[in-house]
Amino acid sequence: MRATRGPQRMRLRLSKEGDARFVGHLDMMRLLERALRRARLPVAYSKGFNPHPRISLASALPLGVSSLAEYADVILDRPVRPGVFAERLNSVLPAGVRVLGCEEAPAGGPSLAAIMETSRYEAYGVVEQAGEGVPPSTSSVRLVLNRAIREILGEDYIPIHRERSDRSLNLRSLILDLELKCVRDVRQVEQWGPGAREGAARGEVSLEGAPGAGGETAGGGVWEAAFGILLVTNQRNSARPDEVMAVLAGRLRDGLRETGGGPAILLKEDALRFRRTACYFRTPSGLREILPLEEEDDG
Amino acid sequence: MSSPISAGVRENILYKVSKPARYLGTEYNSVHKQPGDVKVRFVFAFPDVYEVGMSHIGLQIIYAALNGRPDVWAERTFAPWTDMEAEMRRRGIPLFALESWEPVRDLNILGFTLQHELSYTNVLNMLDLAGIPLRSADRTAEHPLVLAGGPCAFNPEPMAEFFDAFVIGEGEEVVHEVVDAYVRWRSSGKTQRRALLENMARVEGVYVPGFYGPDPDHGWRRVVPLAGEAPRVPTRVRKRVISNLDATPPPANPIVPFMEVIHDRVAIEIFRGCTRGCRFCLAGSIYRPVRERAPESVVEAARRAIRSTGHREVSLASLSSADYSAILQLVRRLNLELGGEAVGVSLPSLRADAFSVALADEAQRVRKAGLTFAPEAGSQRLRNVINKVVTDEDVFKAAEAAFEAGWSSIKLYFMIGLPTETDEDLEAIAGLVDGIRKVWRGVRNKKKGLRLSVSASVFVPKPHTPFQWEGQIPLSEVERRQRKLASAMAGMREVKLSWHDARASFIEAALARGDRSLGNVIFEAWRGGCKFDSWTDMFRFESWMDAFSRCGIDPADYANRRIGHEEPLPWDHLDSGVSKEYLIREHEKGLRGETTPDCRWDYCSNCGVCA
Repeated sequence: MRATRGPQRMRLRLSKEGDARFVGHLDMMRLLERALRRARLPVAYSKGFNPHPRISLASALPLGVSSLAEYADVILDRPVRPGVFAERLNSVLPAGVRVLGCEEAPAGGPSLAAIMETSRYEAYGVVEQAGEGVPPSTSSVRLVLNRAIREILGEDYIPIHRERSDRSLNLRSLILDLELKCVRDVRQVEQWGPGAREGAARGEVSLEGAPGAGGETAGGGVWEAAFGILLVTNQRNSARPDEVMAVLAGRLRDGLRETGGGPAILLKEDALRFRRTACYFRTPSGLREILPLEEEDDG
Repeated sequence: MSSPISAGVRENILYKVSKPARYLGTEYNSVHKQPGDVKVRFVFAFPDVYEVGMSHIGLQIIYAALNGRPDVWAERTFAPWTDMEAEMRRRGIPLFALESWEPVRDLNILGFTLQHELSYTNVLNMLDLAGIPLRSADRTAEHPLVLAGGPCAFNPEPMAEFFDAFVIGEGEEVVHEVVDAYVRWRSSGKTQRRALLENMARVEGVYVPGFYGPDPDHGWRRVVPLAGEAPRVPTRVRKRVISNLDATPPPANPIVPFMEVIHDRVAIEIFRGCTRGCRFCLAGSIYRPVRERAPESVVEAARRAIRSTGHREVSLASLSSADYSAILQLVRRLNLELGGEAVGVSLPSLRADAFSVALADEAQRVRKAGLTFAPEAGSQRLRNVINKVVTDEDVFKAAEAAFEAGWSSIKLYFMIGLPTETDEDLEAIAGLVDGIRKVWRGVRNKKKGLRLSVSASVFVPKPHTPFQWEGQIPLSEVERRQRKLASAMAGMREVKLSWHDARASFIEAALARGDRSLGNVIFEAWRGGCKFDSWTDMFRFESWMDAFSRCGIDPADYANRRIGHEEPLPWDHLDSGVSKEYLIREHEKGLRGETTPDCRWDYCSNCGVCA
């Protein structure tokens, strides 16, 4: 394929699940570097006093979020076939990280960080009955959640303050989509057994907030809810899924305009779990997913 | 019998604590076996947080040694940080092994390493979190065997009530014998814990404190076998020494942490022991005699570990790396073998007098690691007293070689409070540092600014050393000398001066020369909330002083008192191989300012270890 033996830019799509969810961004860079070295892949290093590996991760994923859409560019001193690259790297990656796909990328093109535009997330939450009395039905819960979402999407301006940069910005302009995918009554919580460890390691849902599993008891109804979120995540502006869910939790807590009165249900913010499922990049052929996955992941 | 903490609970906690990567246990090269496949479950317990413990070379060595056996599964456990501990206590989760997340109290052998005295309260806290009775006498056959090794095992008495047995000396051979003795006990059908401890006492190098008591005339200042035990247990326990380091190669597959730890590199011991004879140094006594690894073994081990971890740095570890007989050739070989893969070689523990231009050049060829020298004392007179025969000239030549080779940042270690120290000696520290600044000014082609980090710790008299009879200077005097040093160095803007907390050093000194009656003090200190005592912002001096006071003991008796040569010592029953006559000779020579050469290159000074 390549006539020359010069440097190659390899673009990877990685998963970050199970225990790897708890690896921070900088540690992830080091992890990748060490794995590439263990795989004896010819990673290029910068010249000079303190050479560093020419690896760049597209965007920082918050700690605890699992992902099927982590992207990295690696510059290699000599070309390697993508299939060989993926196989060798996968054989030495630690628990929870896998190469899902890789391809050669144009050598002089823009960085992944520069062309990333949006990210798709799934959020899993625990919803609890707000007060005493007869628990609402699951379809009522669905109704209230959908109302809250409609309310949020119907607004033009939802301010959010970023502490680190001391900026305020309009979160609403960064929310491209927010939808409720399903709601389920979980008052009957199955006991976690040893097999659950593997399930948790695959990054599947944990319902620790529900009664019976964590030791806390709630008198009333408890539901599991799954949401889909599409956010702007580019170099100029980036929203996080936990920011969106915090807004949703706030609306439920304050009571919806449509129904008035107090809250009927509350979203447990400390039991939220997130998963990035896709990123979309600005390419010559339009906004697309790089290295799309071949089969649908259940998530 | 044992069941792991549920996956759901594990998940939930990991989301709640800072640095959850400390508690994962699924790192690359971590070992996961099936409980049903092994006979013995061992847990290496390091009494500090993950990042500190994973930088400890002994952990990787013992972990690899035991997991190399098909009948043993060795795991790890560390001191949970305060937020994790709070979660664990809140939910009733006991201390667990990292790999299996099973409670350590359900496993067979719990092996601690005691690296320094300020980790003792963490040991108690971990036992408490584990749900294991703190005192050995309160444990039954249902509880794991609780052992300790490491440098502090050479004066184990302050912690003797809390451990079933101590391993004295180097661990990688004796740990197998301990495991074998454990297996023999289990398969003998005996169910009494006493029988297990008797088995342990028969292993060479193992000290079982439960079979020893205070001498009728000297109390706990002299430890002797209990009347009924005398025929069965040794009066003195001799340390274990690995005679052939090449027969126990470094770990081929060190665990690679998910998070940044203190040292992210492959550490290969190039030799053990040191015969320079610095008179304050515990390691110099307990790790004698000197044994080197063959250069080929080092290179082979480095290559294997670099391949299996992907690390970019090999650290050649020893007490004084430039004293390795083939150091230049070794560093050259390593650069040749691994330099092409951007792997750097670092040499911690360099002596200024052995540092050379050639070595500097080789060591910096690929990557630059920090450069550290430890003159310890500022004046030649005081250096002669402590037998650190480095001259001012050596220091300046070493600095010049380093600067010419491109280093611009050097770390210097000094100790204040050494025996016979005067204010002139303190001024001499400032003088030496100033001399290095002058050397810098003479160097051409400087790309960056000079950065000198000067660290001044407080002398702590340690057992089994020539200075074990010397007291630490009183706290108020330490603080006066620290102020004096600071003012002598004020105005040197390239210099950053850092201290060890004098009060922490005082407690350390009390524990280092302590006897078994301090066990209650440590217990009271822990009960009063002391933990992570070596962490500056966690150390609670007042709580320690309260603990001493509640037990009716004055710490100054242990820390500051000058001990007579004729007095028995609470560590006489542990044999480091170095004779007391030698230590007395060296003590007296030290006070006269006379030096003793290194027996590797000069005459034998008859320390007794080669006998």
